[in-house]
Amino acid sequence: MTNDPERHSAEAWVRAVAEGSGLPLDQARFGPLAAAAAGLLRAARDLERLLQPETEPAAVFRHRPRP
Amino acid sequence: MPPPALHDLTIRQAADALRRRELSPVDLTEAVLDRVRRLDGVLNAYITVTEEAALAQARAAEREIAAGTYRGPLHGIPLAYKDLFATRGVRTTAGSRLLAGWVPDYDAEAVARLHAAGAVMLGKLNLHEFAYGVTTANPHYGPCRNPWDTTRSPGGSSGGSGAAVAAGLALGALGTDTGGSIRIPAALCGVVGLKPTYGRVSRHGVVPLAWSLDHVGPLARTVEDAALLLAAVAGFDPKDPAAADAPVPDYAAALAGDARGLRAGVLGGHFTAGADPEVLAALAAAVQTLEGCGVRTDGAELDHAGDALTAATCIMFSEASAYHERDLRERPEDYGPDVRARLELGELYRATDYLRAQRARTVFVQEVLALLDRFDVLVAPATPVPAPPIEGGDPAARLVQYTSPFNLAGLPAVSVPCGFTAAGLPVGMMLVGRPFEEATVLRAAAAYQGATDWHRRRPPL
Repeated sequence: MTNDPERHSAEAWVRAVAEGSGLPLDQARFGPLAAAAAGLLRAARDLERLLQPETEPAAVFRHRPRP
Repeated sequence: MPPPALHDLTIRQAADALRRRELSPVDLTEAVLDRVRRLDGVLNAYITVTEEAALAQARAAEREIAAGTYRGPLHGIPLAYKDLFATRGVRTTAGSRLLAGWVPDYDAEAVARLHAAGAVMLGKLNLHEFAYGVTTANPHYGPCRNPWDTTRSPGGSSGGSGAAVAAGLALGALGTDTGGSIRIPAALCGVVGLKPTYGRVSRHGVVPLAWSLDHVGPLARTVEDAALLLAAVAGFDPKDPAAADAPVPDYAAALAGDARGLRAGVLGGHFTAGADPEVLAALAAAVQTLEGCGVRTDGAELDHAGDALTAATCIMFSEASAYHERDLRERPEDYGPDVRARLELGELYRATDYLRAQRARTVFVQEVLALLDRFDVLVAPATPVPAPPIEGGDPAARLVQYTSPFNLAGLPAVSVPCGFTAAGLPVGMMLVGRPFEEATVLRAAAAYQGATDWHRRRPPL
C-alpha cells in the first residue's frame, strides 16, 4: 500500500475483485495490475463530465425485420 | 519494363489474366506458395499453410474457368485469412494456446463468401494472441516480422495479414479491427487496409475480441483490390446480430469517379499529438496530393477524440474480459503475459464504468457525425509512428491513438501508403467516412493512389 489515496483505492479494489470473483492473482501480479488500474479507472470515471442526464448508451442490440 | 513476377501481381492484374486464360490459377498459386516457402521462415506471417488444399482449389478454378464458368474477379486468386476466422477442417488457433487444437466444422461467413467467389485459400495468418494487442509478437507461434525491416513489428493484431500481402505471400488477406488491427498493420507494412462500417461485413465465425467494436475487412496492395475484396464479403448476414441490412454498392465501379469536389477535413489536435515528424511530413505531402486531385481540404478538430480513446479502452477491456472470464480462471497460464494482464485489467471495470463509456460513445458519435456534415472524409495519419522494433516496450497505447476512436464510432476507415521514412519504413494515411459510405472513402483513396506510387514499392526481401 502507498500513501496515495487513488493508488490505495485501486489496490483495495483489485484485491476485492480478485477475492470476490476468483480471479487468480498472486502477489507478483498484484502490484503492476493495481498500478495500471488506478489510471485506467480514473480515466473511465472522468468521462462523466461529457454526459447529460439524458445521454443514453450507444445501442448494440437491435431488432431487425426478417431478411 | 519487365512484367511483374506472379506474386507481385495485384488482384486486378491477376484477375484480368485469369479471365482471359492467359494465366493458370495453378501457376499463380504455385508461384505464391513458392514465395511462402522461401520467405516465411523469416517473416512468420503464417501459422498454417494449406498447400495441398490450395492447389486442389486452384485446379478446380482452372477447370471451371476453362469450361467457361468464370465466377468473377476473385476466381482463382490466392488469398489468406487471419487465424481468427473459422475455417472448415483447418485448424483455427486465434493465435492462442487455448485454441491450438480447434478444427472448426464450418467456415466463417466472410470466408464462405470468398470461397463462393472462387478464391483460393493459402492458409491462416499469424496475429496477436486473440487479436488482443498490436505487435503480433505472438508467444505461442513466434513473432511475425515486418518485411521492410525484419527487426521490426508488422503491427497488429492482423500482423500476418499485413506482412503476407506486403511480401507477396498472398495477393490479399482478411483481417479484423477492434482498435486499429487492420489499419495499423496496413500502415506499418505499406499496404491498403480497410475497416468497413460496423455491421457492413459479417463477423459470424470470427473469434470475438469485443463484440461492439469488432469489424472484419480486407488488406490488399491497392485500393481497387481492397474494393474487390470488400464487394465479395459485404452484405447482410442473419447469423451476425450486428449485421446491417443495407444495400451494397458496386465498390469497384465507384472508384471510376474522380475525387474532384470532395471535402476533406484534415484532423489536428489528438490526431497529430505525439506524431513522429517524418509521419507528419508524409501526411502533409499527402494532403497536398489530395488537393492536386481536386479534393478541397480544411482543418478539422474532434474535441472528444481523447475521451473516445478512453471510452473505447473501457469497452474493449470489459467485453474481452467477459468473453474470456472462464478461461482466465481455469487456464490462466495458457495466456501470454500481455494478454493475460489486459484481461485482468478488464475485470476491474464496473458495470457503471462500462455504461458510462457507452454513453460517452454516444457523445463522440454525435460529434464526429456533425463534423461529417461539413466534410465527406476526414484525414489523419493511421499511426503516430512507423513500425516499432520487435524487441522493445509495448507500443499499444501509441499505435491505436488515431485508429481506435473510429472503432468507437463504427465508421469506415482506410489506411493507404503515403510515404516512407528515411529508414525505409512505410507511413499510412487514414481516410474516414460516413456510415456505409465506404465507396466515398475508397474513391478518395483511389484518387490519391492514382497520383502516387508508394503502393508500387516492394520490400527488400
